[in-house]
Amino acid sequence: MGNEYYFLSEKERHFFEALCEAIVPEGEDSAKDPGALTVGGLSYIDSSLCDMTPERQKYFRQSIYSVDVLSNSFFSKNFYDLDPIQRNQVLKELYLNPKTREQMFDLRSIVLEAFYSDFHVPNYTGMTAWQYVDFGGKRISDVKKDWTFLRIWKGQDDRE
Amino acid sequence: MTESDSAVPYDYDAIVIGSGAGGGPAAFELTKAGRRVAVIEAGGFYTTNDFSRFELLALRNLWWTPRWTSNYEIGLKDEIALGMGRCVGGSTTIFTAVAHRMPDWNYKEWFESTGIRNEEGLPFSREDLEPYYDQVEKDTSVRQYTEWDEGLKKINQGFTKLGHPFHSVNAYINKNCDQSGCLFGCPTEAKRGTLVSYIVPAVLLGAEVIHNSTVTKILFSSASGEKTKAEGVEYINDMGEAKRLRSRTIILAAGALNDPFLLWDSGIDEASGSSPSSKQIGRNFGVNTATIVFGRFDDVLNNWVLHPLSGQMEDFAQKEKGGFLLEASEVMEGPLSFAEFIVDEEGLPLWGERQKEILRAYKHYAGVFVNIHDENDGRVLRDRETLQQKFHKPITNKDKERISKARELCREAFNEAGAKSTLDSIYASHHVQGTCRMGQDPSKSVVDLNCESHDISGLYVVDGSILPSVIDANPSLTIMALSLRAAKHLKSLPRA
Repeated sequence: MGNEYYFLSEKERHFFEALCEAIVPEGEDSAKDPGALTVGGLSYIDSSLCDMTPERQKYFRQSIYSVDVLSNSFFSKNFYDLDPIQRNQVLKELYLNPKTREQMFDLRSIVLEAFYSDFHVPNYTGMTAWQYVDFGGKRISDVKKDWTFLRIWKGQDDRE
Repeated sequence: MTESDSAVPYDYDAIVIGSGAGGGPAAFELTKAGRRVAVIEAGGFYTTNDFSRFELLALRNLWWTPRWTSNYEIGLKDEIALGMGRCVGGSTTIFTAVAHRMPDWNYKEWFESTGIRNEEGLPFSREDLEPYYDQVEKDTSVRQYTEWDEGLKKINQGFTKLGHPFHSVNAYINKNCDQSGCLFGCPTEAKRGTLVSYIVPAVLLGAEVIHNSTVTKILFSSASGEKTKAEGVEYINDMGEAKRLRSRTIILAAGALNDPFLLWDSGIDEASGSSPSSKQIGRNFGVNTATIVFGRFDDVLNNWVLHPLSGQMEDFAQKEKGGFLLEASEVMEGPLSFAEFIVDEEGLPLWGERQKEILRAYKHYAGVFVNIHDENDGRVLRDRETLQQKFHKPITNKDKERISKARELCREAFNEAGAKSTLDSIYASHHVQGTCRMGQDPSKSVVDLNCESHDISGLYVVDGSILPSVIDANPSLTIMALSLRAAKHLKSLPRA
């Protein structure tokens, strides 16, 4: 598993851990029902954010702040410290408030990418999203996925 | 610089900003006519061998990051994701290549919108565009696309039972299509978008494509008593360096979402003396608001192996008849995009276990793409305080009525076809139009019949932004026809 981080602070990692659990949760048996954290999605998020423009990085940090402000206003806790039901409530409110809707979509998107893109960290050999959803066929099953545009994959080769 | 070079004051006869449906045909026609042409494209220059079903990388390389409307700022709650191409060939590289001529009733609506007339002073009509449609269809190998996938066959069974069968679409896709991918670039070169039909041939004839480069300013010059003229562009190249090129003909074809910002950043307000025409920039924004209804079958469809939108049903396309056009089948071609699109019964985006359960059944879904005839009541603008780009596009009660009727019909058809359940999607648009409209009256339009700015000599706008009102067909064929029309005018002018 890759556990090297290039951008996220410890607190931000905690936030995204909680977000990954809410958006693409791991099932009881992670080998058969993986989630964003199972495949190392935090590293995807970290690598992606690291290579964004400073404006975009600032935007994502503001979005994290928005979520925690909302969490504290509802439950007097940060998002990471909420239980799954409370996290869903916060995310729904974030969506229902038109001013934070785009932030909600973007936070959701980066987690969806971290899993449904078929991402996994180097050395992870378990089930990934395409196998999980049985996505395959002509030009898909044999596609060469070069992940080296992500820092976590730099210098490594996973082209299947 | 040689002696002969130094005698040439301009770098190019024409600079084209954008290489999609608007920029590609004009660039090729002018190059073929012996003009020196540069095409500046914000995206990368990817070709057939680069296109693969690695969805994430394709989305990063070929598409603009979706831009969302900010309708909450005008008191509305529904937002639309605006998705367009950002690569050489623009959206014609990644969209479905559906190629229908604009219906007759849209010409009437155009005339009502901006009073657009042809050279004889008659309302602009089918006859004025047909020769150019003929040429585009020939250039891009348009044919009837009859190879239907299993999802579309099922959808058609349902609609046929309801008395509204689907028909094969026309598409600029040749027989080499093996239905193995479309939205992430065509891996077989069967799709004959502007990349293949116009840009590469233009390069072979000597045009220069400056890719991964963003134009930051169109340069204007004015002399006392003369109309302001286009003079060139400034741009940031792929190395991050600021560059400048000179030309007396600038063809702006960056798309309806981008054109207004570039014109404002270029100082068109000042250059035009805040003319009535300049006040029209960014207004009259229409998008053919779209949504997808997905149906879940027991059978395994693997409906990502297809050419999306191979069939359409236009019985309700005219606004008086319902105002929605249906096309199928569409399941987004990859699990990531599908996950992004699906919503629950209340219209809320999905996540968590519910979403995972649907994704596990992804192979059982087919989808109908709904495009409505909306109004040109939106606006592109820049926030005065934050300077952020903003897109306002109301989804009106009338729009909602159209969407609701379309969704209801789709659900009924899916039920007739044996689907076990249905699912809706977010609102999206891939048909952005109308922020620099074409017309005679400068108080209602930005460019004239030849696509030239009312205010700036030598500045042309040729893309979806010039459509006077929304059209009830996928717009790329019409944009390409207008591009050829503008090119014919430009070729008739003496070289600068």
